[in-house]
Amino acid sequence: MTNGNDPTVEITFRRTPVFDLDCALYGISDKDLELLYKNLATDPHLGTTDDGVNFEYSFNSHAVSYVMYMDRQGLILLMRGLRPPADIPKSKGILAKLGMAVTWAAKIKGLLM
Amino acid sequence: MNAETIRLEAYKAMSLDDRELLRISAANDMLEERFNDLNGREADTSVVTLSQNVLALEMADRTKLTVAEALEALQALGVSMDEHAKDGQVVKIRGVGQFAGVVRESQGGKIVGRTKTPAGKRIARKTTAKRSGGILG
Repeated sequence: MTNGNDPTVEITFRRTPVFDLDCALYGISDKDLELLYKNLATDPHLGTTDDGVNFEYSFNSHAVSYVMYMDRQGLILLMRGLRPPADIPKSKGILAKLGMAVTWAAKIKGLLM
Repeated sequence: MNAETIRLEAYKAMSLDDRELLRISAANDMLEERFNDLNGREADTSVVTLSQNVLALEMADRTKLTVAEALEALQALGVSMDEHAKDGQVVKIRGVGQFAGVVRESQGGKIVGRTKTPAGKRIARKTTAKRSGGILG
């Protein structure tokens, strides 16, 4: 899928098996997913982020979390999870673990440089 | 129940914190896989593996599924454990081996009496120090 603003940037969506479980758990249809991908393909920065890697996007009354990084394939959006805002845990320990994604994204970036 | 339904039931039975950990863990696994693809070799994954296995055992403790169903669900989630757990059998987490519990049919086939060997405790401490969190953190 290409970004509408810049046809040279290739955007690839990947999703974890857990993301699929989230979709089943919260009743997200294929049509909803299609719209989600379309929105993010138009603007991958729709979500908010603190570290430039982990993003949170509010979609259809759900919080969608994804990891964005550059790869040889172009821009990758790795769909990590989806849940209602009420189901987002507040544990600080969990939030701290998000840093691992930043580390891996940096390592991948380092390989490409 | 088919495998997909069992996996979803197990996922529902998890706490919000564990579900979030699984989300983070799955994404990091995929990032790590990609790194290994690009790098042409495997990174050191021992700490990540330990964390996933501990998470799995916590899930088995909490779930209302039978042991057989829980094990199937755990395997479907990418965690391997002993496949044919029966009453009184000690269940160990394969790949780590230091975490074990005893299956009790009288308690709905749940894994009870969880123990850690000294080796397990050593690894847990090492993990805690490396990642500045608890066993799961």
